[in-house]
Amino acid sequence: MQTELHYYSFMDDTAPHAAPARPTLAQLEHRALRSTVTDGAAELLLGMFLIAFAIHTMTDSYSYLYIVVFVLAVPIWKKLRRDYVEPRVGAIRLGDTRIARIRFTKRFAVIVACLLLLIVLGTVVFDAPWRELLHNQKAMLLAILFSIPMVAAGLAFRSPRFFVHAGGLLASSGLSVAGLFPLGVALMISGALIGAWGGIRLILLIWQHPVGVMEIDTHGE
Amino acid sequence: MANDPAENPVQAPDINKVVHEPARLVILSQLYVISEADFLFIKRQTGLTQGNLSSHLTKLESAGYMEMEKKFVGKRPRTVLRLTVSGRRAIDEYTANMQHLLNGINHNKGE
Repeated sequence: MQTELHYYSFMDDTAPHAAPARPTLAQLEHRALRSTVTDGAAELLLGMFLIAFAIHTMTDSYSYLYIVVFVLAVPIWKKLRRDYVEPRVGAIRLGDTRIARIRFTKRFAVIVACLLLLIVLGTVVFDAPWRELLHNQKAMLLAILFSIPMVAAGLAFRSPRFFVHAGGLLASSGLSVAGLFPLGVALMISGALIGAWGGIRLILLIWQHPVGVMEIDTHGE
Repeated sequence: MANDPAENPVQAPDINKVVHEPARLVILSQLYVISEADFLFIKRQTGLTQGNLSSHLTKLESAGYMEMEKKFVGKRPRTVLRLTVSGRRAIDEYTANMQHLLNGINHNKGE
C-alpha cells in the first residue's frame, strides 16, 4: 500500500503532494495548471510520433508517417480534450501571466530545438565540419532533440512526469549509443512506453469519470 | 473621557461576509488564480455538491463578484464562470483586512 502511494506521488499530478488539503493561492494555481495536462493525451500522441519516427529509421515503407503524426498531433489533441477530457473533468482558461510564461518557455524550446536540428542535419545530411565528431552520436542527438519538448512541457506545466519521460528516452538512446540495440528500437521502446502510459491514463480517466449532466441550477437547491 | 470604552467602542473588523463564508472563499480563490473555469471544474476542485455550488454561485453573481456565461461546446452545455473586476477587488480587500486583523493578533501575542 505504501509502495503504491509512493508510485502515485512520483508520477501522478493529482497525488497528495500535488493537491494539499489547504493549498495556498500559488498551489491552487499550480494545481489548475497541471490539470490541463493530467489526462495523458499529450503522451499518447508523443508516443505515436516516436513510434512513427522509429518506423522511419527502420524501414522506408512508411518513411513519412511521422510527418503525418506530427502535423495531426495538435488537432487530435484538441479534439481529444474537447470531446473526451473536458466533459469529464472540466475546462479552464489559465491566467494571462501564466499563458505568457508558457509561451515564453515554448518559444525558448523551439529556438533550442532549431539549433539542435541544425546540428543534427549538419551531422546526418550535410558535410558540416563537426560531422566526423558527432556522426556516431546520431541517436543521442535525436533523443536530445525529441526530449526538448518534454522538458519544456515539464517546465511550463510544472509537471515532473515529463522529465521522467525525457529521462527514459535519453536512457534508451544511451543504451543504443552503447551498441545494445539500434536507434529505431530505442525510439520504438520509448515511444511504446510513453504512448502506453498516456493511453492507459486517458482510458482510465474516461472510464472513471462518466459524462453526466453537470449544469448550474440557477434556482439553487 | 476619550479612553472610555462606552464612548469609543472597538469597531468590528471590516470583513466582507459574502467572501468570508468558507465555501464561497474556496470558490473565489479558485477563480482568482485563473481567467475562467467551467462549472464542472469548480465542482471537482471544491468537492461541493451540485446544488450547494449552484446556491453559492448564485449568491456570488448577485453580489456582482462573478459572472456566468452559458454556452454550448458541440452539443454539450457549458457554464463558464469568471470573476468580475469588483470580485477581484473584493478578494484583495478581504485579504488586506484579514492581514491587518491577524497582524494585530500576532503583534500582541508576544506581549
